[in-house]
Amino acid sequence: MKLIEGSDLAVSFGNNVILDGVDLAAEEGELIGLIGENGAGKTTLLRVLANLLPAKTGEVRFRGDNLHAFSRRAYAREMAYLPQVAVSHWPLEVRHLVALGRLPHLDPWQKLAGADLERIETVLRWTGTLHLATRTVTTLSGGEFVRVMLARALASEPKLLLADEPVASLDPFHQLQVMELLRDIAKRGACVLVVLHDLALAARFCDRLLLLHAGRVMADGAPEAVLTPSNLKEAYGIVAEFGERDGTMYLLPWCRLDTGLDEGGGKA
Amino acid sequence: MTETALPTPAITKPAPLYPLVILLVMALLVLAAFSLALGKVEVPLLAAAKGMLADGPPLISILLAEIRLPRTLLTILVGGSLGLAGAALQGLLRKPLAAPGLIGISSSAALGSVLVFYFGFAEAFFLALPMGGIAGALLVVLLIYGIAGRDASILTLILAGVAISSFASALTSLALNLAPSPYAAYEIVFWILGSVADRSFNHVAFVAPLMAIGWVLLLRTGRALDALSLGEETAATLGFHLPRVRFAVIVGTALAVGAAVSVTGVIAFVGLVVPHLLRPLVGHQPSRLLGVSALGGAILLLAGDIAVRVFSPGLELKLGVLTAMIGAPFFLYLILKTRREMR
Amino acid sequence: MPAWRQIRNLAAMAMVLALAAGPASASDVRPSRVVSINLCADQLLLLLAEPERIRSLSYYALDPGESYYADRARTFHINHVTADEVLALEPDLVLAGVYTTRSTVGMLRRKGVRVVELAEPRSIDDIRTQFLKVAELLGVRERGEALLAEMMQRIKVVASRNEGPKPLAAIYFANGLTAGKGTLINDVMRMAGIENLAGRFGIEGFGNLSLERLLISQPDMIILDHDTPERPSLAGMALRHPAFRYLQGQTKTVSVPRRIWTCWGPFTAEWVEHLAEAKP
Repeated sequence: MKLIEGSDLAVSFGNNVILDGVDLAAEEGELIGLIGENGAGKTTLLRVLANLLPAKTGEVRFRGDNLHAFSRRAYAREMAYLPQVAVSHWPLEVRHLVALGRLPHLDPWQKLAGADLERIETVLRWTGTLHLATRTVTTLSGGEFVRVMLARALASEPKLLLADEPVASLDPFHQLQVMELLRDIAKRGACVLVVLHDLALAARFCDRLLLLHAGRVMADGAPEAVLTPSNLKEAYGIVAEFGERDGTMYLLPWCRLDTGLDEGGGKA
Repeated sequence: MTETALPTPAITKPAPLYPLVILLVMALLVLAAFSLALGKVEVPLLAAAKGMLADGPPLISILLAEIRLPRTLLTILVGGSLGLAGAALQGLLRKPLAAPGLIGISSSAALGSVLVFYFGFAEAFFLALPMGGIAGALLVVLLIYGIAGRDASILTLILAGVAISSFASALTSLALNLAPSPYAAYEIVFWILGSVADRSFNHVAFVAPLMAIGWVLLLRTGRALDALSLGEETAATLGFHLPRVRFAVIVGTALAVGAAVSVTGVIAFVGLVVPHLLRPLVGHQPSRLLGVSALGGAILLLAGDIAVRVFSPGLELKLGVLTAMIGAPFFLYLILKTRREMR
Repeated sequence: MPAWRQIRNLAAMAMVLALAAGPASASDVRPSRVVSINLCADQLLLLLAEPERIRSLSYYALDPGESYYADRARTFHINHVTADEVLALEPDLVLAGVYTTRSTVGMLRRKGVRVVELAEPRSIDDIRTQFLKVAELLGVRERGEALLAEMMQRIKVVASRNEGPKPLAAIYFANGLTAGKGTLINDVMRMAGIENLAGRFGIEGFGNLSLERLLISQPDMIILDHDTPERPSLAGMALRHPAFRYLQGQTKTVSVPRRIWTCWGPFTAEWVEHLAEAKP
């Protein structure tokens, strides 16, 4: 049984079709990159899977059961969602913010217990933010903030992590750190679905890629199978340079198709 | 990345809240005692306590039991309601300037109360008066939520509040002018500036049950408000049913503030100042702010009411005048502080 | 108000009116198109001037709660205290109050209208001065003097009966309003042989009497400006406060209708009588 499955998912706002017959399935232990051009429907798909947006048609199944069978709270214990623009409206201390991730496991008046505190400490250490525990979130750098937010998402011990562009605002060091962390989480048995714009990172870290184009799944499979020159042309309108190191493919988006530069790639 | 690494400073539980709570409760009790003892007429409390037991001249005990005690209780209830509702609203809207007075809830509660009271509906059934205030408040909380709920800027929120407040005040004034009682027109001061002077246990009985329901609704939203620190979507994925949270805060605020205004008029700025002062002391966590803001509101209002009685010569100042004198400069300071955000 | 007294008042008035009718036509400087824009001036006009010389009264004059002669005011033209309305009436004299209509009065004066402002009397002596001033303005000094003499006579009768200890009375008007030294009310109480509680607290002019002080002072009588009204108001609600109820059970309360105390004139005598009769 797959951890999460979506079949024939469609979403539209007015006449605007955002998702159109999307099928996907993911298992525990997988790190799946959700890629596609701006407006391809990546975020919408993630929100449907997070039960934030109802699909117009199709259904989402979690461990084989329709998502509607779960209460919000029950699903919250299994799934964590990291939005594209994570915010903290109040200047909370880092440890208190991360503790919010424990809320799905706490009864309304129940206080944080030893196990909760241990988990908080663990995720702070994973994300390399333990030294920030008593800092106020407003004093963090952009990279620190993203990692703290990731720690919050991990605090609930999710079986499914849905992360929307978690590395978009990070420098290369922290991009690698976060991607390594996501891979690590997947290795520990969770399923991680991450929206990425950086194709190099996607190719380097993800077990599988799901390429969305105009609301449909254009390709689904291993990075080498998805990031083909023809797929990149059609989905992104770009040409990339490919290479290989230690048996892993890498690529570098090189030029847009309509600039007229040919694939051999002179200097732009 | 390994988790069996070095021994690190363990994450400890959040600092307990009870020292602050005990401090606030003590302050509340001391002020309540002062509130009973102080006024234009000085009451020797200890002697009075004995006097209530013995059967001496009953005047002091009537003064205590029928005037000072209801006044003190009402001040605590109203101050607590305003503080609690302010904290909850700020948590729901995630805006430090979202106080019941500022966004027009209090003035429309006053309008609702005035309509019910002066046109004779208050006698229709027991809770008609507070219900009028609550209806007025409810209307505006819904309106404000419609405007601001979807992440409108603070500026939008406050401007909407200004418009609603002046509209409600104008209608209140109109209603008082049209009211059949010849005294109504003179009584606008009470409704606009608020006072707890010379209230009776009837008023306490009017508002206490409705306020209590409001308080329960508001206090139960603490965890959800915590989750809302991360925004509505994240809060939803943390397992909270947001429509239910909104309902609780909106109806709870309307009950608490509407009932309060219906017996004391508009007492401004308490719901703004109190949560803001206490927020740093509870690590800015909305859930921990709720209870202490209720205590803080009661304390502020008790202190204000004592000051009004002790320091105003001759004509007694309206309580709302005093809270406005403290609150308005504070509000300006807050605006300066959040100006960057408003741009 | 007892019916007999009303009849007596009307009789006195009829007599005065008859007396005044004769010599009045002699003077042609007498204003013949008088407009009042003040409740108390309305009362004085209705008392002193012949109906044909009253061009217009303020709309306050119609309110039976506030206006002593509300019934009689009904037959007159009514203005709404605005300058343009008054100007259109082409008055040769406008009577106004000192406090409330400053800008209207200013406007009228700029347009060359003769406006006389009536100050609020702070004692019975003030009433005499004011009343005679208005009577002279209207060219009916004799009628004014006769009415005044009657008023003073009635007050003197009351005052002559004042003996023994003065009862202590608390003025507890709507919403805790009280009156101390330097108010007509204080003087009326003095004439009626009543001590004003506000004096003990050093209140000058109008002030506030809290329920607490009222309760603890244990006055011999409480003077209200209204009965528990049938129309809901905070003022009325205060009279249902348990502490007030208790006090009311122990203390004589008397209410002075607003139409008697809001304005002044010969009917102020009725106020003095009313209070004196109510003494415990």
